[in-house]
Amino acid sequence: MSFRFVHAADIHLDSPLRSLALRAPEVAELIGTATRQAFAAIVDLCLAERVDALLLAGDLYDGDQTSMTTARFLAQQLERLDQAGVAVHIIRGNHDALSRITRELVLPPSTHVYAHRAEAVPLQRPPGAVPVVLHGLSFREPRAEACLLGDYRPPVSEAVNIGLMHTSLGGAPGHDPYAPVTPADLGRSGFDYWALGHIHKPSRQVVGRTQVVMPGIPQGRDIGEAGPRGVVLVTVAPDRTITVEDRLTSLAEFAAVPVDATGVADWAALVRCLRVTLETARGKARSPHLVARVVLTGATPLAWRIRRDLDLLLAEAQAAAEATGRVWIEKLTSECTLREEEAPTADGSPLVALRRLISGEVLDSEAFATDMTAAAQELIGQLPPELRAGFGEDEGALGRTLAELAREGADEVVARLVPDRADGAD
Amino acid sequence: MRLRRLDLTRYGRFTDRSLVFGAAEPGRPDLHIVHGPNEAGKSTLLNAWLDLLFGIHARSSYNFLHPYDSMRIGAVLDLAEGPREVVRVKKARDSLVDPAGRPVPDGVLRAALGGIERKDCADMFALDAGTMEDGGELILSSRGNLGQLLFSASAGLAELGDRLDGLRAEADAFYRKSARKGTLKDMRARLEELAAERKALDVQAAEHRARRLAADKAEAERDAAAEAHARAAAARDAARAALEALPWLAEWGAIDAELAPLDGLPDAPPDWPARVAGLLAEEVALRTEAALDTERRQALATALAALVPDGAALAQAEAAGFDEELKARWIAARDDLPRRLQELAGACQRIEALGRQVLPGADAATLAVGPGTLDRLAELMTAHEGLSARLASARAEVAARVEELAAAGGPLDDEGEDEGAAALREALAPLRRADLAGRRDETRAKADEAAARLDAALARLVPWSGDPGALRALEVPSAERLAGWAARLDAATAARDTAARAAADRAEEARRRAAERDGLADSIGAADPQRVADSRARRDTAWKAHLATLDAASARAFAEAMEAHDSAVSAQLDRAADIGRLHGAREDAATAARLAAAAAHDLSTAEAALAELRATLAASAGAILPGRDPADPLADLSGWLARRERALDLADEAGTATRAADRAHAEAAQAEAALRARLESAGEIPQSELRALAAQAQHLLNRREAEAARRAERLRLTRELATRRQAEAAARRALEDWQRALAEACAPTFLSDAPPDAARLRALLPPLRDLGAALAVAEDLRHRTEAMQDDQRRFAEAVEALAAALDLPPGDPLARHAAAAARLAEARRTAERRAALAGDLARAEAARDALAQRRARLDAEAAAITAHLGAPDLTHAQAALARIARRAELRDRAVRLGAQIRGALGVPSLDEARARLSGTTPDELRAALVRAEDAQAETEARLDAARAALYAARHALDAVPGDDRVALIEARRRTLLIEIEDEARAWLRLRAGVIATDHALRSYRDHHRSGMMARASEAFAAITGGAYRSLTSQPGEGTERLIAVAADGSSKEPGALSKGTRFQLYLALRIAGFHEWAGAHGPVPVIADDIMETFDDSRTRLALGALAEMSRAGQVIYLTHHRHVCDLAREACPEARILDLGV
Repeated sequence: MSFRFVHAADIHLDSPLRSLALRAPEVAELIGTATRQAFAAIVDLCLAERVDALLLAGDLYDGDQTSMTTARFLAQQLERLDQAGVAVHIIRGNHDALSRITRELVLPPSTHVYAHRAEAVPLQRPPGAVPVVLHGLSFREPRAEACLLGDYRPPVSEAVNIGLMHTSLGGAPGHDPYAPVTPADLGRSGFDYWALGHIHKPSRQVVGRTQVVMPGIPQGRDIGEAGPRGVVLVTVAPDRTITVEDRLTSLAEFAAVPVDATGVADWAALVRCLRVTLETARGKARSPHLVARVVLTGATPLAWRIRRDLDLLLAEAQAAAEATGRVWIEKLTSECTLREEEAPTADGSPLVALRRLISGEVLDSEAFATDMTAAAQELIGQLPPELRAGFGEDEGALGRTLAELAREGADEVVARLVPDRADGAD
Repeated sequence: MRLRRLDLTRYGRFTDRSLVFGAAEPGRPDLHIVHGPNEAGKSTLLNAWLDLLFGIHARSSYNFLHPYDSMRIGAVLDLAEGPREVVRVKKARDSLVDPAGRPVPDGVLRAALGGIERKDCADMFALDAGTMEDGGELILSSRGNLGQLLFSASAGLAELGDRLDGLRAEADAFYRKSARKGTLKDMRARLEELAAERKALDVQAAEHRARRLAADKAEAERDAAAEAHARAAAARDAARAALEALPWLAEWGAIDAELAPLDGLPDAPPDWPARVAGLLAEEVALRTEAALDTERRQALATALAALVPDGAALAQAEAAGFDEELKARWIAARDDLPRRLQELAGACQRIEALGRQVLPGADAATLAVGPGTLDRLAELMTAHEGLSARLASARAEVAARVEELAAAGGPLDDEGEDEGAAALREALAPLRRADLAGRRDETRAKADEAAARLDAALARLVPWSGDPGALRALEVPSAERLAGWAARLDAATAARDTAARAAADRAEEARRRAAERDGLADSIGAADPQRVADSRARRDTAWKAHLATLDAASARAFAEAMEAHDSAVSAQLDRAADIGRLHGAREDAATAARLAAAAAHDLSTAEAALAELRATLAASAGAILPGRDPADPLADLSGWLARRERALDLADEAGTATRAADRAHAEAAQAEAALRARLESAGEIPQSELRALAAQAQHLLNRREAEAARRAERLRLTRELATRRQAEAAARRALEDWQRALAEACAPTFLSDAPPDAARLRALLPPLRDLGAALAVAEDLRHRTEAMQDDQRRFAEAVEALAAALDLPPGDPLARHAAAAARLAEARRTAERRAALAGDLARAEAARDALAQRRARLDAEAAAITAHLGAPDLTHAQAALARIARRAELRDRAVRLGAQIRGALGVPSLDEARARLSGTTPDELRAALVRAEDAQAETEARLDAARAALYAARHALDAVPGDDRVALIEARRRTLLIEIEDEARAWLRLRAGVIATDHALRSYRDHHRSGMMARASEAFAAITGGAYRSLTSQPGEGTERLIAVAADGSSKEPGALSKGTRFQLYLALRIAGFHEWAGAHGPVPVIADDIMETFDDSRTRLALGALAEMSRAGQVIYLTHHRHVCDLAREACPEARILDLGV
């Protein structure tokens, strides 16, 4: 008789999506609780596939998460699994290591949360079935700089040994090391399957006879976690061979959608191009909703007009997205340029002279830097505190941010100073 | 653009006044000074220039002499494409036209002006004291249209400021320092709202823990209270039970006593009491039913025996005698037959009568004629009437024509045309079309009249004489040329007069200056430096003489000379001031004399030009009309030229009239000759005059035409008679055809041997139709009577047979039929009743058998019950069952009471219960109960409170929602934060762009302004003669201020300058602005009206020099009423052209 389980990690329950697309109330209504809906989808998957167990390899919620409504929701979902006889095994990750709501949580009897000392838990199996032993360890601190593999109990012979571990593996960009361990070490451990968590980008590999699986976050929360997301469904056959299948759980997926406007000469054609690209992106997306960040690229005579009328183009993109269905525009930006031969010359237009003055003299001048820094510091002082650091932690970083913004802003303002009659073809 | 000539045709006080500035000469200043005294119309001229360029204002005040609809300004302008003449009239549209009156688009001028508006053009290029100051301020502040205009003329950045302001406002909408509103503020407020909303909904982990502990504690308290309460309730229940059990025990004793005598009774099934009652009732019912049944059977048998069946009648039920249809036909024949037989006899008689009418003695049946034949005969008869009438009419026509022809003169075979009449008609035709004779006379009279008028006109041309040909050959000047001569003569005369006035003024001035000089010299006398010099010379001469001789005489002479010189020197020292004035006066007098000489020269030049012009014109006029006054060579020339035109027109008219008269005469002569020839060929002697000749010809023509008409009538009648005769023959043939058709129609009838004539046929047709009809009626009646007689016979036979079978008495068939039918009906009713009775009887017998069976069953059941109970019958059995039931009831009650008592007291047996309660009284028991109840109520209250507390604690714990409201709020909060960050970045970009653009614009402006500033600075230094060396600018609040730097380096703001110097600054700015504008759009004429009133002579000269310098780049026209300004202009710029506006 085979043993089947679902392996998920980094649920980050009730961690909100970070997207401007949610500005629209109807979008917020649809995908505002995507992390919850994704977790409900995991439970649904367990019930539909009649699995024996659900393994959660850490980070059920964000560390600063203190709302008991989240805990309550979690308990309700685990209750559903309890009633269906599905065992749930949970280790804590760096985020929920110190979580206060975990202590308040009343979990159903079939849910096992591993303590900070390693445990090996044999599962109840029908007579004659291959025995299965689960190994786990919840670390108590949000930081774990040492490898924890040595703390685990040795594998039980004759049984299928499955380990749960929250680890940054060999290290990953954007992640501090957390209980680092190499896949090769895991392969030598004598376990059959390592159910890992912590890194949001999914990965899996086979080392020797050991499957090392990082399922990733089951619902991406911003453009940095783009693409379809899910969990893995694992089947251990009676002959102890292991099959791993991906299962989609994301309600919405993020995608950067480049629109190539090269050579597009009139506005209507540009809008058409935008619509077709969005439709193609929708066709490629696998999740029910697509949150698109649209970037216009290429050399086009419309470059200045696009920059000037970006708000109109955004409205067009939203209309196209609505027509396509379940596509939401997060942001629309332009990196379009004029073709060399179409760029106006200095003797023709005073604006071009101004533009040259700006890029050649003004932007690098001390007077401008002084004015700009004063304006920026005044504004940043008025922003909510949690946003202030985003513009630069120190003076140097702020200066770099402002220089970048000034370059874009100068282009934008000069484009918007172009009188209407100077438009490209319309 | 340049102004070559300005025509003040009808504008303000001007009428037909032209100012000619002439063509520009490359490399020379284009400066024009227009001089005119006050009221000469300089302001009018300035305004006319603007009106020409931009149109005359709807309520223009320059209509005091020429009304609006006649106002007119013209100009010859040098445009890029060449000189062009335009005219401005006062109209709502198309007010700009060319000299021919064709509209010229305003855009032509607008383009040449670089698109400048009227106000700006006035401020910039049409200067007077007002615009000078207003426009100057605008330029200083770089504000207003003019300031922007000057700036944008080179920068091309108009609108940029507005757009930039728009972007600034857009940024401010998000955040502006110390603004009370803004998107950022709104967003922060929303963040706070969301936090509050979340707080209201959410439960944090710490709070949850507190609630859980509170719930645990409440539960423990609830459990303790519940236990206490249970104990108190048990105690109270025991007390209550003891009190209740006391009476129950007494009742139990009574029941036990009643049960003792009932012990020996047998048991019986519980349903027996009901069954016994049922059996008793059924027995009574059975007895009653049996008696009723017997009685009924007997009655039925008796009734059946009383009914006897009638077989004979039933056997005849299907006989023919009962056939109702047969009977009905018999009745119908009986009623109808006699009448039908009578009708048949009548028909036969009518046939006989008709037969006799047609052909007496013949059998009527043989006379029948078929209906087709009858219709044909009737048709032929109708046709005959038409044919005979047609023949008669044709015959009458022939007779009438024969008679008419005889009266007309008998038949005529052909006609001959009278050719003479036709030719005569042709010759007369032209005379009829036009009254040739009348026209000939009329045209002659008109020609004579025209010749007379021509002669008179020629006579008015004296002293000239000759024929019209010579007059026409004369070479005369055109009206335009003549007007040109007159204009030149006027202009030369006016120039001479002006020069004469100027020469007089100058001469007077020179005289005055000389007198001043001489007067001064006289008053000075010895102090006159000339005389001092003379005395010095005399002294020196005396000294030389004295040195040569060194004698007393020479010494005395030297001493005298020395003394005279000393006194002269001392006098000169005393009058030094006067001597200075004398020097000035001498200079002035010399200048005035020079000017007077120049004016006298101008005058003589003008007079010479006038004389020469007069001589030239006198020569030209004399060539046409010699002997005129040489002083006024053009006098009366235009009047004579008009009279010449008139005479030439009349000569044309006289020629035309003569030619018409000749044409009319020729036509009349030709017509007369033709007519005369015709009359002679007809043998007439023609009359001599044209009108009598025409009357004679007409008379002859009338005669000829009457004769031709008579011949035509005879010919017509001859042809008509022939036609009528043909018609008569045709009618006769048609009647013969009719006869043949009648014989054919009669062939199949009794008339075949002798077809009748028309009258006979008409008489025969009606009786023949009636006979046919009568024969058909008689045949029908015969058939019907025979059928009726047959029906009567058949019914009688059927009734007879039926009567024999039923043995009926003899009688009328109808009566016997009725009797038989009644008998059959009675037989059928009897049979039906018998069948019913037999059925009833059978059912009654079956009921009797059923009753017997029920009786047997009842008896058996009753026997079983009575035997068990030992009762003699059912009534006794019922009493025994009642006693058994009572015993069962008592036993039940006893058992229940026992259980109640044991239960209440909590004892296993009744004996123990009795033991427990013996010796206690109800009062003691009641007191114990009250105590127990009090204790119980107390514990219950405690329990209620504990339960409520537990409920509240659990409710608080359960109130933590599992739904997603908090998550959604958190999602909104996060989105709002991202949104704020995004907007903040957009704000920073926008601000950065705006700040950068501001910086760039400032730099751009500085660059462009410096060019204009340098030029203005240079012009200002030149005009002030170096009193100010430059202009510079200094940044102020939001704008820049202009500073004038004096020769000593001190700086002054424009407000601190004297009015004259300020105006010089304004002029310098205009000069700089003019060059800036001309560089971008080409030059525009600058017209200034006495803007140097506040300048001293020196600066006026310098300013005129600056204007002259500027005029190398574009035309400058300076209007002034100061003569000396003209002179200064000449000094500053000898090439300046001076024009006199005159009075």
